[in-house]
Amino acid sequence: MAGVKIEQLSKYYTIHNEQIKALAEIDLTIPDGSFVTLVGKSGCGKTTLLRLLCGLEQPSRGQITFLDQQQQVVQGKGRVSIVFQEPRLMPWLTVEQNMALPLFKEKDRRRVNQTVTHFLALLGLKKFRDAYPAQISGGMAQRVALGRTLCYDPDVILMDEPLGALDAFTRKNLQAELVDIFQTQKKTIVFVTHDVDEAVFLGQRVVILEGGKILEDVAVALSYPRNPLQQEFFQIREKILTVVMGEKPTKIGGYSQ
Amino acid sequence: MKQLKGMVIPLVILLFWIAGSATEMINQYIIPPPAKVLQTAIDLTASGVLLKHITISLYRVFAGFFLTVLFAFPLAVLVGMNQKLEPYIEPVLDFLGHIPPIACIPMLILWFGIGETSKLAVIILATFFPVFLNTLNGILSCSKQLLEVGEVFGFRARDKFWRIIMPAALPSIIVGFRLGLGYSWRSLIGAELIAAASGIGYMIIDAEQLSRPDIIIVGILTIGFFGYIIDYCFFKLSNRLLPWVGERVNYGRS
Repeated sequence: MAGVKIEQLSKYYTIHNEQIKALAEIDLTIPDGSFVTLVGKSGCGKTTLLRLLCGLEQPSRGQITFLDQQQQVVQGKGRVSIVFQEPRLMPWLTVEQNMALPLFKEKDRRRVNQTVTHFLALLGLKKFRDAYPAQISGGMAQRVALGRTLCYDPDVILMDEPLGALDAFTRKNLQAELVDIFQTQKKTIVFVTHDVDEAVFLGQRVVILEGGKILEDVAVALSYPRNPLQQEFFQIREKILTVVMGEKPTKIGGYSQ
Repeated sequence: MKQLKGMVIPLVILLFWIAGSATEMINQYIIPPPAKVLQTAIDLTASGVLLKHITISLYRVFAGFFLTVLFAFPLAVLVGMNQKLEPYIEPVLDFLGHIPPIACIPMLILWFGIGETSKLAVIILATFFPVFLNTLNGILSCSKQLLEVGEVFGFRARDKFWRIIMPAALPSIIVGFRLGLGYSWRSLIGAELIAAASGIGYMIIDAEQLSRPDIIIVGILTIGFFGYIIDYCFFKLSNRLLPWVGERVNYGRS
């Protein structure tokens, strides 16, 4: 178990001799076992933040520390894993083998088998156990990617628009399942999306990013499972939209994307 | 059904051949009638001459192929994993790749004589490029996205190599092997035509000296037949090794 403390975190890129600030002095604390969603327009730095958190990129300045339940700093790198926007499954491995991939160091094959079977069942993937990624749908593939991360058993799960490429129905189902998983697995989840409804439906907090800075941190004090048609849900959504768009949003437009 | 369709054109050619020979429209000293070719094939098989030559040729192909893989494959891995080496190697290979191995035969004969060594050298020259380039290509085109997955799960360089890069490159590697075998078979026949004392290519060139077009035709058909069989076996093997690829995906670079 771990929470994350981000202090003065900055990331610069140099493109054609021009320095671009992807993230500028971000401060953010994500307590252990909480579900935080990050929203913002394209290029606001949300993906960069996730890549820094899981160590795929190194910060230009600032630091990331992992905290245990007593808010004490955990030495070294925390166990962090990420679900990408694309499933990124190994095409040469079956669903089962893909999920077992992060457990490659585990010598006890029976335990690996148990873990994988557990999550296959949890995510409704038992029928697809021996299928190759090319043989399953996009929604199923993204489930496998999530299952693979759960098998790894990280303290912090990062999600980079994992439902972005899915159709509306599959998306709704997976959102609901994600809430279930969050409540049962007790993980810290950082979920990036550009869909405000999704952000409000999932997160205990919605952090709005803009130009590499945190614009606002909105608490969503609604109990799970949430009803998007509820008055409070709607108010929070409007509030976030106003901040993101920088103006009053029109009332037209449905809840689903 | 597909196999039957594939038989149509050969059968039509055979019919024309039979008809042309029967009506003496085809000069039988240039193209002997099918019956004579068949009889020659039976004689050559019965006397063991055909088997002797084909065994020698096949032995050369497999020995040469094996030797090539033994150094082309590790070299490709070395270059693929140390991309600093690539600028040194690539222009040289691009240049050498344009030289047909047959063109080197006179030089190889000067160096190695007309014995086995020069034949092996020709095969190695022919097989090297498809094996090396396809292996290298397979390694270099490994998806960065998949490597990031390994990174996140704490893979070390060794884990990444064996668990991501090699399996990702395998389809391309196998295509290289398959092309390499085909190339070595073709160039070997060329080498045997120019300088050899045995082998299926020698059988053909010897038949020319004796004015025996029937033997030449038997030789040509035998070459095609064995080439086809080798490729078919390799194709079946690759399907077994790559269950996730299936028959729809085609990779290739030669």
